Amino acid sequence: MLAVPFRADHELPRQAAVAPPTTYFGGRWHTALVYLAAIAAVLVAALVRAALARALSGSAPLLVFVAPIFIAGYLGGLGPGLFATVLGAGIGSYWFVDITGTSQLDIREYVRIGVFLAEGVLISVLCEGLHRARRRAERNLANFRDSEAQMRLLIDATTDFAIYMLSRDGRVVTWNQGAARIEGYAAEEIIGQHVAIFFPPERPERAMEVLAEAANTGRFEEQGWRIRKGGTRYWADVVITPLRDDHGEIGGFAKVLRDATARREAEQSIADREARLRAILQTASNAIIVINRRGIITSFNPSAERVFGYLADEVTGKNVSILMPEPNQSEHDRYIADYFRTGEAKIIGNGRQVLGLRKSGSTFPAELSVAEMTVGGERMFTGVIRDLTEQQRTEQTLRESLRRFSELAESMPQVVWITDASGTPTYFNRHWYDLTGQTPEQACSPRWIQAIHPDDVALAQEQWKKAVATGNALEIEFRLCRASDGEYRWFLSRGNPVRDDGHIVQWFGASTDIHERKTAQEVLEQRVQKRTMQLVQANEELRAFSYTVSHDLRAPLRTLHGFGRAMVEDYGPGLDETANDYLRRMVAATARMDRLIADLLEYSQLSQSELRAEPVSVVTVIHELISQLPAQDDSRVPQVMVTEPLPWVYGHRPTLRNVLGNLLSNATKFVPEERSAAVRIYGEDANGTARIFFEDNGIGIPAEHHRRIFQPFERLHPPGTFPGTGIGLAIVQRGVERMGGKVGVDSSVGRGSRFWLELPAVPGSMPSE
Amino acid sequence: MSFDLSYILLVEDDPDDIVLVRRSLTKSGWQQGLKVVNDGELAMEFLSTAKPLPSLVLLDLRLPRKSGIDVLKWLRAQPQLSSLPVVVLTHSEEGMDVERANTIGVTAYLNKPVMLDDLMRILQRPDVIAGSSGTHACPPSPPIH
Repeated sequence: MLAVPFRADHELPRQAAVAPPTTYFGGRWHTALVYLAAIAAVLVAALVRAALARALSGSAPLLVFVAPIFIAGYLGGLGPGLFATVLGAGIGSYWFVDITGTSQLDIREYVRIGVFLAEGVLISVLCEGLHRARRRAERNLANFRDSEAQMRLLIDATTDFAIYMLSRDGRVVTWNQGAARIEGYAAEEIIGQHVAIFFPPERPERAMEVLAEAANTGRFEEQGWRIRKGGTRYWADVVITPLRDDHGEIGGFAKVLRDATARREAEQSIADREARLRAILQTASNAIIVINRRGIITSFNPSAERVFGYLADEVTGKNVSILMPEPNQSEHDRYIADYFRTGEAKIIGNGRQVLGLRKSGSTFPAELSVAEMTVGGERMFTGVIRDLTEQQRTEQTLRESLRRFSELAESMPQVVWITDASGTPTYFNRHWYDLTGQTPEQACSPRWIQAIHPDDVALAQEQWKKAVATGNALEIEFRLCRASDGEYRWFLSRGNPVRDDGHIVQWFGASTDIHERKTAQEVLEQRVQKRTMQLVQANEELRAFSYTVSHDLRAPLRTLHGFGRAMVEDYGPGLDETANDYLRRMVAATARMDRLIADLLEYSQLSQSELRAEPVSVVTVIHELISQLPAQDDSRVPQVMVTEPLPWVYGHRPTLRNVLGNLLSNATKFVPEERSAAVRIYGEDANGTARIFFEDNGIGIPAEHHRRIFQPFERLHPPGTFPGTGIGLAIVQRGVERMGGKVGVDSSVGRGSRFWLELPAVPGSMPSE
Repeated sequence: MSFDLSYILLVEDDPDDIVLVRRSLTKSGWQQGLKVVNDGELAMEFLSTAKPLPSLVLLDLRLPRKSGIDVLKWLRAQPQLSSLPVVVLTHSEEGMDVERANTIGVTAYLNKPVMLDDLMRILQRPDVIAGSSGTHACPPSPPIH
């Protein structure tokens, strides 16, 4: 019986839903029909009365006319009911109440008519009430139908909420746009699916638990994770209500769901921020106190508890003035009032030093800074209080130690100074001012350096620069001008960097008068220089002397030797064997002495003259030497085998000849009597170093003597066993070393020796190995 | 320049060395005589006028007035003397002088004191005494004193 919206049946349903509700019993035609029906009913009642006239005779003449009143009242309410009453009373009285027939006025007839009219009115009134109730009910029904349609449209169009129905067993029955948007499913793919699909896969049974709880408690509400199509999670705000039929049986569920992920995140971040803020308040090392505009404490952090000695609970709600001594305590309320009146802040925005009052009654110095804020429309003040007790104590200690330092520094016999990191002085003790006559302004500036002797300034600055750059301790010697007499005196200045956190913050140092020491040292140096000169001269003289001596010594010696030999040759046959033996010994001794002097001379010259290196062919020198090799006394001929090629070396040719000659002679010398000397000479070029080897078949050298044999006058054998002066290998070593090379020996007793020497090779002179 | 063997000129200031040279020369059988001068100046004077020229000069390096090196230099600079054989008498320590003499032009060296066998070896060298040993019969010249 849904009323058709007569104006809007061709319009959109949405607009129909908002059209004004129509009246069921409306229109004049309808009213006229009701009155006509009343007339007809009265006439029918009159006919019925007439038909019953005989049976009833004169009794109950108006009874049948009650029925039309009911009919008209039912159909039309009060108006038609009254109309039927009056009409019924008129017609009934006229025909069936004998008013006119008896012509006598019977009071009973009038009472009867009066009762009838009263009944009619009563019935009409009752019918009117009934009628109205019915009209209201019908109107309500129509309204209800309209609003249900609207509600459905509203639900369907809602996008912020998912609103849908579930069947009793949890399957999706309806689906709105919000559900589609939030959960991602289109209506056609989700309707009929079980609600478990929306729950995280780890607890699918949760779906039925939720429905059971909704059924049991009449409403289920929760916030929790749900899964949308595709598997992503969102934080859902869910309400599920069971739908019951007339018998109270659950027919399904209504589910309303909202995506609360963003809100949850926002709440989470607010919670995080609050937690952080709380943590800051809890852990802040400074006391933090919040008061409201009347000076009442609303927050008191743990540091405040520690600093003031009150527990937060003790002071919260009290006036902040209890935390300050007089006169501030009694004035504080006025301060706040003044601030609100004038807007002039005394502390807010700029911290100041104040006194705090502890619970114990003691006061302490503190630094207070206050910030103002408005929270929920109320002005609040946050005070941050730093207890300065410790700091002031430290400052006191610092002042004390500074005073002690300064006393110490002033009493030092040296100049004591401090500079900044760059080396500009920041402090000098009194000695400096006494010494230089500078003013503190001059001294503690780059001009301090004017006190230094002009010749020493450059060096001093350079040293300073180096010390500052490297951070190493500083040590400078310079002359300072003594202001009293203008004399420059030597000072030794030592400084050390003072570091803070690894960075140099200043330099600390002292300068000591070392003038006496320094001048004494200079005298000493001059003396040393003089002595050295004398020594060089003496050395030179000695060299000339030794040359002359050896030369002049040798000349007569040779003459002696010559005449001795001449004696033996010319007159030996005339002398007896003993005389000949003596003569030979004399000749041999002079020869030995000549050789000895020659070797000594050579050895001493080796250490003195400058040796100029040039490329020398070793093989050429060796062949020259071999050709000059003297025959052994006993006619044993040494065999020398040279394995060519031999490298060219950089060396001093005469020295090299000397060295190689000595090595060759050495190799042929130490041979047991029963065999002749055999020497093998070969060489190699090892990465630019030439090595020459002299391998002999001699008696060999025990390992412990390998170093000794290169010392002058070291002989391993008694004189006369083997020829030589004992200087040959010393000449070899010194000669090779002077040419920048090395010499050595590999040998063992009975197996011969291998002497080697190393010199820089001439590149390409020999195939490298 | 004479093709015959001529005398030997000894330039030496040490009397002992002169005795020893003369002794060895005598022993060697040298018969062409020996002329001795005692310093460099005299040597140059003698050589610039000598007729005939000596067949060999025995030259000490350490001489008064003019050194042996100076004599050698001068000698090599004279056209008529430049090919004259010169044997330098040395001490083994005079390495530097020997080297210098070498660059100027020396026929041979003889170590002092001059002994017989060394002298014999030198005299037998064909570049020292042209032709042969001292056994040639030649016109006598200043006798050996």
